[in-house]
Amino acid sequence: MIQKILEQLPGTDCQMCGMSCADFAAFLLSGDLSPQECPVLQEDAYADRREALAALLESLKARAKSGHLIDPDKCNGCGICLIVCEYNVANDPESRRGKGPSKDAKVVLRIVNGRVVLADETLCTRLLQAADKCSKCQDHCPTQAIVLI
Amino acid sequence: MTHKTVTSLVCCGCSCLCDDIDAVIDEDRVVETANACRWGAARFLGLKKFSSGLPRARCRSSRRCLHDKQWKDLPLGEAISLCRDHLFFARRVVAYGLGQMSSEALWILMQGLRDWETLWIPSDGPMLEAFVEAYKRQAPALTHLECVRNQADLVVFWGANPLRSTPRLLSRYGLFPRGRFTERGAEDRKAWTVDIQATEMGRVTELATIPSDHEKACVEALRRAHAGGPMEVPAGLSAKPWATLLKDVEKSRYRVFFFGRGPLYHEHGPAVLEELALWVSELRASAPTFLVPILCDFNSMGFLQIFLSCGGSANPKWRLQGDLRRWEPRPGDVLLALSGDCFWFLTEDQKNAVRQHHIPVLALSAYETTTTAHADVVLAVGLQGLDVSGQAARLDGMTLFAEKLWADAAASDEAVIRKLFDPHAEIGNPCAPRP
Amino acid sequence: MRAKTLIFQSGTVFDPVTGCEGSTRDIAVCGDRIVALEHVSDVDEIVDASGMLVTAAAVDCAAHVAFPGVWALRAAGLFPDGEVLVRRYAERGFGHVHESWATLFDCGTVQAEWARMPGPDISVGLGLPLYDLTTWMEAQDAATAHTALEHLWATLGTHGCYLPEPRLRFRDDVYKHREKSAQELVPFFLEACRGVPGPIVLPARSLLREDLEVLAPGIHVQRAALLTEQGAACPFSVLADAIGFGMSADLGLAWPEKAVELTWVPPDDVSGGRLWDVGSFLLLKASPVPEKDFRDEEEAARFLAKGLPEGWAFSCRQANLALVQDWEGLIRAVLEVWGVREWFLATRAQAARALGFSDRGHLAPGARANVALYREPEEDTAAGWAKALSRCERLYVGGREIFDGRRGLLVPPSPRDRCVGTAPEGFRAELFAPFLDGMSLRPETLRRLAPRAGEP
Repeated sequence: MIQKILEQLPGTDCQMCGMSCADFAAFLLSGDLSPQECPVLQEDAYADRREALAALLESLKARAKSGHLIDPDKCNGCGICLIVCEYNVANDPESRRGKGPSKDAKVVLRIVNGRVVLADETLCTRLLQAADKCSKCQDHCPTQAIVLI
Repeated sequence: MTHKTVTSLVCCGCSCLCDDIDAVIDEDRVVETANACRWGAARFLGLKKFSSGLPRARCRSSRRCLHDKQWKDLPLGEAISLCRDHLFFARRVVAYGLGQMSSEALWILMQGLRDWETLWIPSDGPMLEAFVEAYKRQAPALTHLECVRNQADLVVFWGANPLRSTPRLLSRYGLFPRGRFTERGAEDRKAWTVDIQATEMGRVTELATIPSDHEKACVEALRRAHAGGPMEVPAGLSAKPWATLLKDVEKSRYRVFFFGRGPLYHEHGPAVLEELALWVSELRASAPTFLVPILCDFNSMGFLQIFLSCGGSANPKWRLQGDLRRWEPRPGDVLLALSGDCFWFLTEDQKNAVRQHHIPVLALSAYETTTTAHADVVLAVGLQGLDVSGQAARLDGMTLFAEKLWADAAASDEAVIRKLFDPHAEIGNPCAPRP
Repeated sequence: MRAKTLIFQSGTVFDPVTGCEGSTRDIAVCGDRIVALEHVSDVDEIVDASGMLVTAAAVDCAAHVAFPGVWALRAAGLFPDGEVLVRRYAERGFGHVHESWATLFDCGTVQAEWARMPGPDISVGLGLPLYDLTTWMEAQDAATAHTALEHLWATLGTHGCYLPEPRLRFRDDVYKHREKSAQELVPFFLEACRGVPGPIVLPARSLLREDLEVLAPGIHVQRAALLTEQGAACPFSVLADAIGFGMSADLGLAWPEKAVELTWVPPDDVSGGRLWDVGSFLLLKASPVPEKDFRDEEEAARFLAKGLPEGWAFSCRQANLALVQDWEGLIRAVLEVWGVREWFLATRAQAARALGFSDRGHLAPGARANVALYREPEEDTAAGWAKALSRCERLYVGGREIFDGRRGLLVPPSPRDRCVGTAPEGFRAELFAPFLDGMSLRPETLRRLAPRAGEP
């Protein structure tokens, strides 16, 4: 995702914002900086990129704290993410065996109305430990409905 | 609002028959499902399977078609009686659909048609016909999905994309669940998909693509190479993936081949299955190896079991036909469309022949379909697992029971078929299904 | 509503249990039970049985009719359809068939298949791979295992338990350290199964000589004649000696027919025949019956002569008496070794006893009214008796006529009435957890199978 943001930045590494474009992209993704803080991007020549970047960042608002960005239209509810999820496997015996979690089970992901939803993102390994610790739900999703950002 | 949560429902969305569906019900309507895949949830929520969010029209009432293409609603008993009259004059019954009916209804139907000239065309017909033919000559071993999840260390999906037909097969049984001897799920399993194009399966398994006209040759090449010969794949194909697949096969101790309907879209499909069944039989010499068909309709396997249990293969008046398009309508035929939309698949020539020969079309259906729009008589029934209860057999043959969710439901297909053959039978007091 | 009363009048009764061996007597039935004649006042129907043999209906104690994957055999033309099987059972005077086993996940399949075959009473044993009990074995907690098994059998409506192998084995080398011998397991298992209805059955072929020490009273060895085969781990004679202290067995004699036999094979012996994995350590295999006749086997014939006083029951190598086509030939061959009395004992009283049914296989008051009527033999020879006994004229199950020699199969009793077992009052899902550890299913699914057992 950083790469996609980077593509919309001027790419001049002019340091006018105080850092390289790549670092600036990372701060945009984390939400700590906004596009307005890149002076070059405000020039008319970059109007298209400005709009594209705004749209891109708008789409990222849907992502959860754990970094999950779920596209429900792509999900077919196969449930693979539920049983590869590190937290689910470690804490929910039903998920571990391939069954759907019972209604009271504490799990990160669930399939509701045929689509995956984050039942409790605070349990996700990415929040509990580190974002680079686990990306299994994304890696094993056959339809690419889950993207981790 | 009177919301109620019900748990462990059996989903009749596909032949997986998942039994872990939890749902929230508002009187006689499902408002939320948990654990059901997209297809299953659509069935529970009353939506179209492939168009997200669009409601699927239910058959509201039983009716007959008048001469001027106007419909007249009828009490169910009268509609059944009309069907019985049509059947009385039938020289041949053409029964289409069948895989979306309860086992109980199928059994009564076959008892009723025992002495009738009948052409059986299940909607999963190409697969069922090919498997019956393959089993006549080969002896591939069978297994249960429970055993697959517990033990399989090699899973091959041949011409199958379960993500499109039986979405939870991979997570519940085929690939990811942790079983008795595969405690790390997919990490303990080698998985392959063989298909004529790249599919989503390539993201969760190894993928070998293959031109459709070379499928049989590839199985032959694998067989020969397994027997000690060189790996000679058809010209233009790289031998590398096939050599790797064979290596994985030879290293594994419990192998399962899932066969999908992909190859059967082509005329050489049955030959591919035959060759694969032969190879699977041979592979047993080194380790347990199994062949499992991936059926689509939730009770296709129930149909096959009951058809064979009722002597279907030996009955000289019955014929099991895979492809609906091979049906040549003739005077005296009566078309029984049983929970299957045959008019969607009929060719224009076949439709013309149906009209020309005045073939009565009798539709039993829970949904409005192209066929109910063309039918002479429509019998409205409830949906199994929602409005009515019934048994069905999972794709591996295991029988499960789907219970109804509310009391004032529609007529079951079992009650309707019973009444069709026995005018004195009770059909209860069915209300029309909700709009 | 008052139960229907009927009397079989003036028949020649053959029932060794009550001491009738050819005397003319009347047998009274009230509802689904045999009653003493003096307790009958109003009679609804009198069946003229003069010139007929009146006997208890026979019991097939070792049948596989609805095993998983039977459809594949039918597709290959190797197994008769349901109607043929039921008609054959009825024509031969069988009023009860025991399906030896159904696995936990196949109970619904087996019960549904039987429900589609209206005719005799049925009971189904539960095939249990011992590693389903591993949790309790490790903890040596036979009491909880007992509670769980009792609840499971009641829920599924199964009768008795079938152990494919009285040892615990794992297919994967990684788990070999957890394997246990029969000596370790069988005492635990017997304790866990204490008091549950029905037999504990072991297939003969899986027996080892050293197992015999722990195979205590109450265990039934199925198709014992298979031990005559070369290479059997437990010789026939050793088992015969062990029978004395309370084990029972049925014979499983070979008869030259074009049919298949069903046996268990280990996973490393899977070539040939047709094969199913039914979730046990062993795999189920269907292969052609060898072209041999038990009369050619001296040891089997000797065993046949000796087995009766030991209380053995009659069964066939095909694991299904209805698969035998030349039934008359088979009876004749057996009667040349046994007498008629022994035939009745082995196919009725002793077969019922092997299954733990005290109310079947005889005509004493209180017994279930499963009654078979045959024509009296024209001559008192093995051939004459075989001809008579191979063709039942009228068959009653639970007091209702289900077969008439001229009219064929009649409207049967409702399948629910034919099933053995009742569902428990409450349902305790938590007890099923160890069983379901190896399955994808939720406990509720098993519960749902039970009330449907036997419904059409």
